[in-house]
Amino acid sequence: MPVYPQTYRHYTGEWRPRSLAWTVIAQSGIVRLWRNKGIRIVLWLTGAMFLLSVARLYLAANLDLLDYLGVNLGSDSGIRIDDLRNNRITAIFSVNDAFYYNYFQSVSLGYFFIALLAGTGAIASDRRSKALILYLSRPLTALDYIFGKSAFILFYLYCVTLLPALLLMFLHAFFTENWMYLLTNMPLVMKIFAFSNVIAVPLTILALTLSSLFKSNEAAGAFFAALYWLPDVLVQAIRGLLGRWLWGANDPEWWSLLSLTNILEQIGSYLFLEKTTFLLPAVFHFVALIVMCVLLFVVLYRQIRAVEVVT
Amino acid sequence: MAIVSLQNVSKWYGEVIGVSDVTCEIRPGVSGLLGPNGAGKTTLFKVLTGLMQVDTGRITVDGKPVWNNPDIFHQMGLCPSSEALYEQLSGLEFLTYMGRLHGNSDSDARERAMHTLGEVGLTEAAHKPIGAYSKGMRQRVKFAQSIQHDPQVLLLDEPLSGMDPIGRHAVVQRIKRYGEEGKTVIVSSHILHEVEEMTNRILLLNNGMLLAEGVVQEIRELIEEQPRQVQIISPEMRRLSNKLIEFEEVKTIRFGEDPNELIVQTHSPDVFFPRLTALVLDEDIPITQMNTLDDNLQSVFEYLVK
Repeated sequence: MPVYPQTYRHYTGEWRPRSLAWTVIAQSGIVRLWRNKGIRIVLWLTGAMFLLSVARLYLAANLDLLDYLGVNLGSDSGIRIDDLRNNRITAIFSVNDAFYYNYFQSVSLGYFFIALLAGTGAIASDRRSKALILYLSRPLTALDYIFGKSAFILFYLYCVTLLPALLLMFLHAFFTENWMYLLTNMPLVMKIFAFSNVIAVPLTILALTLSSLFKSNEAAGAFFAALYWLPDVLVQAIRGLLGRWLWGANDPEWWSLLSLTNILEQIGSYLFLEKTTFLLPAVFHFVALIVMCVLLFVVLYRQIRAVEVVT
Repeated sequence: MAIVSLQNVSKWYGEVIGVSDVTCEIRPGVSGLLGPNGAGKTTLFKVLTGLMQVDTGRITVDGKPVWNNPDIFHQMGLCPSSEALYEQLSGLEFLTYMGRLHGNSDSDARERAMHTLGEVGLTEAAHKPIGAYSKGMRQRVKFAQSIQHDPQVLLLDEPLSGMDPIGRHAVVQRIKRYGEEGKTVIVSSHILHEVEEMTNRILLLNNGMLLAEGVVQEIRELIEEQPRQVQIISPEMRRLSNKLIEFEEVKTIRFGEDPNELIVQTHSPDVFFPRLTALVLDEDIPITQMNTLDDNLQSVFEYLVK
């Protein structure tokens, strides 16, 4: 029988820094989700919306082409050179802050479904297979785990929000051959960056939190859809039935704080449009969003820690 | 030198006690953590791995605290009792992923994964999805993920549960080799003969309390009030029993299921065994077999938890 010294021997190899452990989870999630047919369909559909916006950009940069189309479409087309000249139609093709907000609105279903498909199964599947303990018995913390799971959801959400919006800015500069457009519109870049995060971060945290509460992807998904859409529907119904009695003639629209869709709409319109959707100042919506994110994160973190105990 | 050290460790779940004032030091080699279901074995594993914070006391591994110290898992491997696996991944993909979480590069993790799968006898099934594995194969994959990074401290929670005889033999041999290599292995089980196959060094846990620790035989010696049972097989069983009745140190004598079997209980084995030898030689009584029945873990366990 071999005789070994009964002493402790330290591992002498090299390990990657622990701070990068979450990237493994993120990378694996990105690859795994790409195999999901639903995610690919949503990405293709939002890609189509992106292409429509690109077409608008192209036409806006080439009104001469529109002019040409108008001529050749004949008098029945409804597009007149005179109209173009009188700026009646060019307003449709103007590229301003509202143009980018319109893009975000056009992909709103897309980012909802991305969060639904990518987020609600992220932790539920680990809970179902009791795999959480495998992560936490590695050199990574509960926070690393949450960051890793968040990262791949954020990646896909940015794929339909931040990245296309910035690419639209780049394409506008390209079509108009005005590269200074990017530099002179840095505030717009910041708005796009801010609004993309206003969409992506709360949706990610909401989806992950619900995912941590259920072992079933379907149950987490159903709750996610309900929390995303139902408050607005319920508030609108109550408002329609009891609005005058509850709020009187001067409705301050506090109820808009109860719905995530309303909050996103108000912040979006505040950032990109001259007029906000609701009367209540957007700062309230922003604070409500932060409070919601913090509370959800606390629940999420506690859930991950609690799962360790009962696994 | 003790690698794992627990000092006055207690953990409560509200008013229910999980682990109560446990103090012990665990040295390199294989140690069995024994106790019935609900004794606190899994809780002890969770606090040992830093997955759960203790309410009182201190735990160190190689002198380092385990709580809030995930880096400790570079030196520690955990095989949980729950079936924590991804059904859709193959064994190789699963272990590669686990290796990458440890900080290995993709190629290194894959190489280690393949090597570890070979160690647990799953090379041929490496590319099959885990969902298609038998219960025993799943256990082996779960065991493999705990050893793939070559930890110096290995915690195995019911590692042989549901394992087939071949896989069981492979894993038992692997665990024993780990102990012989100077690594610290703690194996929990409520099935005593499982632990007996791997080690005779045990920690006995019941109701969250550490009842005893040490080598089985040493613990047995401590239980002086409990008589030791000796099984004697002799073709002249009746003549032998007549002589043994005269021994003061013999407490009881009964006949076993075998017509030639005699079960003797004695309080003083130190006196009994030399006298028995002398008797056999003097009276020329043939003895074909003799076993000390309660030197095994089952007896020690039963004495201590009752």
